Parts: sequence; C-alpha cells; structure tokens
Amino acid sequence: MKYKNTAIPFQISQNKKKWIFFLAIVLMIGVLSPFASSQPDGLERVAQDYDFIDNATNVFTASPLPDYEARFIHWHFGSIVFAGWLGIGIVFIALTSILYLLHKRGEKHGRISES
Amino acid sequence: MHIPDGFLNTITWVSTSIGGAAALGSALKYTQRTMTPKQMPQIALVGSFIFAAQMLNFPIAGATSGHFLGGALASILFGPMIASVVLSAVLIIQALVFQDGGITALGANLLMTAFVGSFAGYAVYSFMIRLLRGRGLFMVAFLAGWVSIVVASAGVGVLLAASGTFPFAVALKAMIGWHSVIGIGEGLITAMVAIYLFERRAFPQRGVPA
Repeated sequence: MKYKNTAIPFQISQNKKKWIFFLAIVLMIGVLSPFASSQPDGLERVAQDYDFIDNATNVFTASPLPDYEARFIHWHFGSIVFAGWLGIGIVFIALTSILYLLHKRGEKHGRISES
Repeated sequence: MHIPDGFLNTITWVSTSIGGAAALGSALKYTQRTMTPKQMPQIALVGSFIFAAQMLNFPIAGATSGHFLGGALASILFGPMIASVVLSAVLIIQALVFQDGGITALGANLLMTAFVGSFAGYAVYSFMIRLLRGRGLFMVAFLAGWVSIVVASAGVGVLLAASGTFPFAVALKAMIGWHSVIGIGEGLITAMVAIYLFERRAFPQRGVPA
C-alpha cells in the first residue's frame, strides 16, 4: 500500500522521555519569566502611538494574581516565578479536566466518532 | 496581544462575545468527537507550554516587545479545532486569574488569537506540507507561525478600527507592521517545538503487512 501524497506525513511523538523533557522545559520557562521584557507589546505600542492606551480599563478587578505576580510573596523574583508556575499548573489541570469531562460525556451520549 | 477592556466599543465587544462563545461551543463539540484519550495529557501540556511561553516577552526594535501566541503550534500538533480550545482555555485563565486581557474583550481575544490565529496557521501548514510532501518542516512551521500572528493582529486591527479608534488603513498598517517583526519570534518557537515533538509517520511498505 502506497501512501497518498495528500496525507500529512508527521505525527506527534509518543516517546515518554521527550514529553518529560518538554515538561521540564515548561517549568524552566516559569523560572525565566522574571527576565521577560517589560516593554509594551505590539498592541500596547500601537495604542501608545495612536493615543488610545489610556482607554484601557479593568472591568474585572478580582483577579488573584494581577500582572503575573503573587503580591503576598515579598520577594519579587520569587513572586513572579510562583505565579508563573501556578498558572502553568492551572492551565494543565483545567485543560485535563475539561477534556476528560468532554470525553466522558461523549461516551455516555455516543458522540465519539470511531476512527 | 491581549485586548484590554475599554478598547472596543459596545457593539463590537457584545457581538464578538456572542461570536466567541458560539465558536468555542462548536470547537468543544468537535473536540469531543475527534479527540482520543491518549491525547489529553499531551494537549494539556502543550497548553501549559503556550501559557508559559506567552509570559516571556522578548524585546524587538524600538522599545517594544513581543510574545509567543501559540495558535499555529497547537494547530500543527492537534488540528485547528483542538488548538482553538487550548488557546481559549489559556486566554480565559489569563483574563480571570492574571488580569491579562479584558473580560469584555474576551470574546474578541478568543476569536482573533484563538480561532483566527489557529486556523490561519493551520491553513499555511497543511497546504505547504502537502505541497512539499513533508520536506522542510522547519520552514513550513516557521511560516505558519509568522502568518498566524500577522493575520490575528490584522483581525485585532479591524476590531479596533470598527470601534472607531483609528481608520482601517492606519490600524492594519500599524498592527501588521509591528506583528510582522514579532512573528519572527513566533515562527522560530513554533518551528523548534514542532520539530522536537513531531516524528515521521511510519507508512506501511509495499509487501509488508501493516
């Protein structure tokens, strides 16, 4: 059987070691986040240049970790790394739970397509 | 590129909120149908990577910085629908927990960064990789990343112009100008991670039972 040229010839790696190393990279990025540039990003720069940056407001002010900082930690570097790691964990747990619940409900209602 | 509250006028933020919610609903439905359980931890970890990498603003020219968005990367790895779900989760958590991106602008951010970014990146990737028959993955992924951020920024420009902030032509020129530079960083990160996490599919050979 010859494969069709229209098929995408790549698949995601199933090598566990690669994924563990990838997790290590993600955690390392959390440690590097205090060194991130604090210059305005592309959109903020455009807003400054065209004089509408002051229109920015905050409707929702109950965020526990505004600006990626855990203010209750008084060590600046540590507070940024902590907030970053917390975010990394929250994203991982949130996505895993949403996907798991979706899949369970899909199975229950027979919505999963057989591949 | 997270739109804060106050940049969009009422009609724009209300309509993009409705549009964003509808788009997310259909992406979730599609994800439910097509995702395999084995993919769950992989999708979640790539989501964590995207969140982490978005924090790392890198300096570009003229006292300005850029940061990774990740729509192209997630869509290359999992397809544009699952990618949109991943990016939406990241954006919602950023808005709620970290006050990054406005609540009223969440729908607009979802539509542009999650959906337009993912689909634009995937369109480039799936077309080019077939055209080149799997050669040049680095270049193809780089281009997908670059295009995704430039198209998403143009989309944000259109929304800003529609809100009466500045004229369309000016908005597009300013947004695309800065983001075509930021897109180089996006492209490099997309390409490096895609090369690292991808392996060539083993196609059954002639005469060998699969």
